Amino acid sequence: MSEAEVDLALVRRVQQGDKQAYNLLVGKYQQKILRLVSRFIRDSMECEDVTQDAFIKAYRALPNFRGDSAFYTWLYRIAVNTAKNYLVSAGRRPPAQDLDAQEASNSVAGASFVDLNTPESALMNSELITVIRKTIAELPDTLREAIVYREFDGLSYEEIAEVMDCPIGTVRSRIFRARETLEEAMSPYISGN
Amino acid sequence: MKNQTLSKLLDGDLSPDELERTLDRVLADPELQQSWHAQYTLRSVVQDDGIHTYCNIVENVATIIAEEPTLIAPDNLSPKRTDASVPVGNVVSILSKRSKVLALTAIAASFAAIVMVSYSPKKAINSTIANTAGTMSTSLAAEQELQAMIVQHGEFSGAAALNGLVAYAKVVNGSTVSDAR
Repeated sequence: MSEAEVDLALVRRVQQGDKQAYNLLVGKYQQKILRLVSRFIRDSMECEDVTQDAFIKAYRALPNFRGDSAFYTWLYRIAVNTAKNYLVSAGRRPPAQDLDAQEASNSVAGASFVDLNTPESALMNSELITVIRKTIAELPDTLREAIVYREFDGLSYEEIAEVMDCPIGTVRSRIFRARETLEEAMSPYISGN
Repeated sequence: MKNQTLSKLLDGDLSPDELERTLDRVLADPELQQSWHAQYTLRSVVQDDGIHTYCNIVENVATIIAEEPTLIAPDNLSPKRTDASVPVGNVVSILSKRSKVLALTAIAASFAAIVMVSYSPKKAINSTIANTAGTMSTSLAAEQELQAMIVQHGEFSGAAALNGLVAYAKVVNGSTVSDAR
């Protein structure tokens, strides 16, 4: 089962009337969509508003989502159109060069994004990154390797089991314990987020 | 993070049955939901080198959609779930796209029929149009005038909402109908 299938399962629940399931999708993709929208809109507040608007539009359009494409690809298109329409309505010209729709299925990291953080949130962001790096560095070797292979390198459980020469069940357990430790370390920085 | 199943969910490492059971648990447990959001924040940090802003998009969107009617997809878009998930609040049934097209086409056809019976050109053709289509006498000028009228008032018909569908009427006489048959 892929992540896209998890998304689809959540989408089906929203389509059956479960609004709470949509919150999980928003939580999962809010940062990616914010990054995407920031390619069009420079102002931090406007960027957040447009991102929020894109999620609302997607919710309203969700009854007609058939699952022909991945949910994120579909959401990506809505966000791009929402950002462009916002610029047009504000009397500004959207960028002539369109974004590649293929990027929708990939991470949007590495592109030239605007830093939307205010000085305060930039400081918190910096602290959060420091805490996460420090916590990862202090993890026992086996946990650190497992979480790095999974989150940084994107290896599957099977691949990690092969690299670490251990059963898949052990890999699952190590990744879980690493996440548990990281979540605890992060909690002061993400409460209410 | 309270349990390993959520960790497996984040990695898409569950069977379809386990997936549904896990989603049921997550959706019923605010702590698991908090873990879900925390883990995706973690992922944004490690994969995208930081999070963008400390904003409350999840909360804001949740507040807005809580006010919205609960949307129910048509059955052909969404497979029936085995567990009973009864939506609460106002429920809006969404017509399928095909049903919408058929409904709008019917409206467009009704509009065209109204034009056919109410049209009154200056020429002598009008009385024959008002009788029966089979006995209409053909006039190219009258037909053009009729088309212009349909186009002019087309925005009021259902066809205006359909891409690529244009309201159209043709004046025919009895022999043409017989030939066509």
